[in-house]
Amino acid sequence: MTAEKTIALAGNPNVGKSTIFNALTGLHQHTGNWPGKTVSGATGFFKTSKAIYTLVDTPGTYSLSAKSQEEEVTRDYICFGNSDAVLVVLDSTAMARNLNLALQIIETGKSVIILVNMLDEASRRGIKINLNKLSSILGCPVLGVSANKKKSVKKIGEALDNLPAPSPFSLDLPAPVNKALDSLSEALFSETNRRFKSLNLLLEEKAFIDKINPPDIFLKELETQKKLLSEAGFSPKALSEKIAEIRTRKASEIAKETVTYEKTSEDTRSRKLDRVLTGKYTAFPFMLVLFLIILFLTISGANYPSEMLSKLLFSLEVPITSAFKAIGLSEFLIALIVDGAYRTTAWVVSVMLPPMAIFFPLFTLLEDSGYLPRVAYNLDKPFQKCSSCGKQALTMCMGLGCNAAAVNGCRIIDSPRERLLAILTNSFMPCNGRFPIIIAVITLFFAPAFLKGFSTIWQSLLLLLVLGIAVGITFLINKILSKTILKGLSSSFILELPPYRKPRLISVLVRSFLDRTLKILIRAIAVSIPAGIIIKLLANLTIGGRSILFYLTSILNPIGEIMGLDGIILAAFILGLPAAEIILPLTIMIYTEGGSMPMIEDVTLIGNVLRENGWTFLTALNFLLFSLFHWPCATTILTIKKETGSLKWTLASCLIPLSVGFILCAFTNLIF
Amino acid sequence: MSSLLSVPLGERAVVLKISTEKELLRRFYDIGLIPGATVTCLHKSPFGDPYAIEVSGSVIAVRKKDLKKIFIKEAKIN
Repeated sequence: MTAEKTIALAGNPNVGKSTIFNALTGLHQHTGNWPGKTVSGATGFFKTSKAIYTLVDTPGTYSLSAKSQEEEVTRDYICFGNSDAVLVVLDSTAMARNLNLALQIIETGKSVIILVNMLDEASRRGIKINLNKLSSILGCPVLGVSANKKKSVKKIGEALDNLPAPSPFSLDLPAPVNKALDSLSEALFSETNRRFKSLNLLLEEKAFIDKINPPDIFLKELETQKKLLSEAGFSPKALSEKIAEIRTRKASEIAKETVTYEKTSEDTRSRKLDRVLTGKYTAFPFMLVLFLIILFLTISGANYPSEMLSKLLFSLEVPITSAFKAIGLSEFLIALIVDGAYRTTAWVVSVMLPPMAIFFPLFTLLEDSGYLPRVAYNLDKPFQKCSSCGKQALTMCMGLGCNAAAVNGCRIIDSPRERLLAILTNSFMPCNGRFPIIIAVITLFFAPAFLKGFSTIWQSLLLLLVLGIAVGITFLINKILSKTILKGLSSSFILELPPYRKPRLISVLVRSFLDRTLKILIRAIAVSIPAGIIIKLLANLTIGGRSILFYLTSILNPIGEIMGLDGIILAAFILGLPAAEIILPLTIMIYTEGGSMPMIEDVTLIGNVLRENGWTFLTALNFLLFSLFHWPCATTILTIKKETGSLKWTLASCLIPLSVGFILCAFTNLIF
Repeated sequence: MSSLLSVPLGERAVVLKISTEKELLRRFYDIGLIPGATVTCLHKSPFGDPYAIEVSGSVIAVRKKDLKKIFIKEAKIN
């Protein structure tokens, strides 16, 4: 019979935890919201000859002391979750720091298996680790993991099959503390792992008080011991600091005993790269060129596949219609399904899929290489000026992929005020759903014919400019918010700059496709099918001879005119609430009298439809601005509600971009 | 007392005392920045703040105002 066990995977950020997770589980996994930034733990499965294991990935953290949400998730899962054992991943190039977390996890009394990762990089830098010695000091199995994943997976499986008893390791605490813990453990008779729990109750860790619900006899003893310890100079606060210091010291002691450095262990490659990538004169030019290249590759690479896809999908319309006719569906239903649902979906897929399939892998490569934290490092000063922090730059970058994921990712920001700033302004960054719209409008209205040969470069530059506007407005609104409703000074910030690492190409391609592209595409399709049907209905159901859509757009028209747009565009934005990628298709669908989207195989034809309906250079400009600043998509709004837990801030996250968009559009409309 | 901010880029110093507020202090402890630890000042960001420092094998960005509160032993080791 095979047993079933649950294993937690823990470690510092950037230690290659996801690589190990992927190697173990292969494709048998459900991922969290934003891979690489495990915010809501991913789970996966793998089998050995003896058991089936459920592997639960936890967010990368430096400590279990629960100072940020991510740490709380990890702490709660390891201390109170259902795991049978914990795999702790250590980065062999920074053992002292990594051991600190390992010690904390061992102290919880769980069965622990230590995985020392990045051994290849360590040996390149002349770092040698005595795994056997480490294992005997820590009292738990220690496995070395290197690039040869197959071998490593086998080793980990074997270790899990022979799960060790929890390690007896404990810190050398000051004598009075030890004495206090002895009598406290005794009073906590009904619990397992009493010493660890007693210590946390002594330190007044709230989660432990809530979850353990200790007996009265313990609480009485707790008060006595607290008093005794305070008299000995260990108030809960002082004690918690003291223990952290003892542990850090122990961790570096163990590292000294088990790690040897052959030559200079300095990461010279990272140092050299940093000299350029964070250099005073080179950092920003490099950043701009890098983003330009990514945009260029996305635009130029997406053109042709987009065209092919739309040709293919639209050519299927005829056979689908005749198939429906053959099974005897009514004309009305066929129109609803084919002209409404199918055509909208075909549009969204052909416009969205190619740029997404190119942008996401490129972005994941960047993320994998260790460059993104440098963006935060380079930009921290300007963010400081707006009473925020450089980590917001990271969440903005995530926003380029998907705003909802980025709002989730704002958890990396410790200060609640700064996190709220980042959440409220995140939708300013055009996500991958809005990218294709912006690219299309740029192509149609802002690429003069004489630039023929260079048009892609020109489009990329304009797109970069659009991003620049989004970033500029983010700074401005940050500043305004931190002077008004989110008053406060920028808090302290520390950020790890991990070593640069060669991205793992294949893994990046597979992951970014499965986690990002496919997920977002499915969501877009799920949204465009009902949206297509609703539009079709609104356009075809009539009251007093006029369609409902007509009434809607007429009401919106005056507002649209103030903004240099029209009622139809605004209606498309409102109907596009579930997913921004359908806004442009919807606009065109409403313009074309037939009440369904036109079959368009050539982008320039879209331009003709728009121009025939009164679009000018100014309309296009305002459309661009409004697509940057209106309201977050429905998924993002829900995520904001979940993350802030407040209706007020959720509302603010919609009203702030809306006001910005309205003011900007009204302004350009006035001056031009 | 001199702080980490006074250490020239590329040079090392030993931490004597850290007097930041509690939250940040714990963060520093978590990454191995405790009294007695050796810290290398590596480089500063393009706008001059924050700085990148290396402690127990990892590189950390810390703002100037916090570096000022990390005091070092006078004699520098090279």
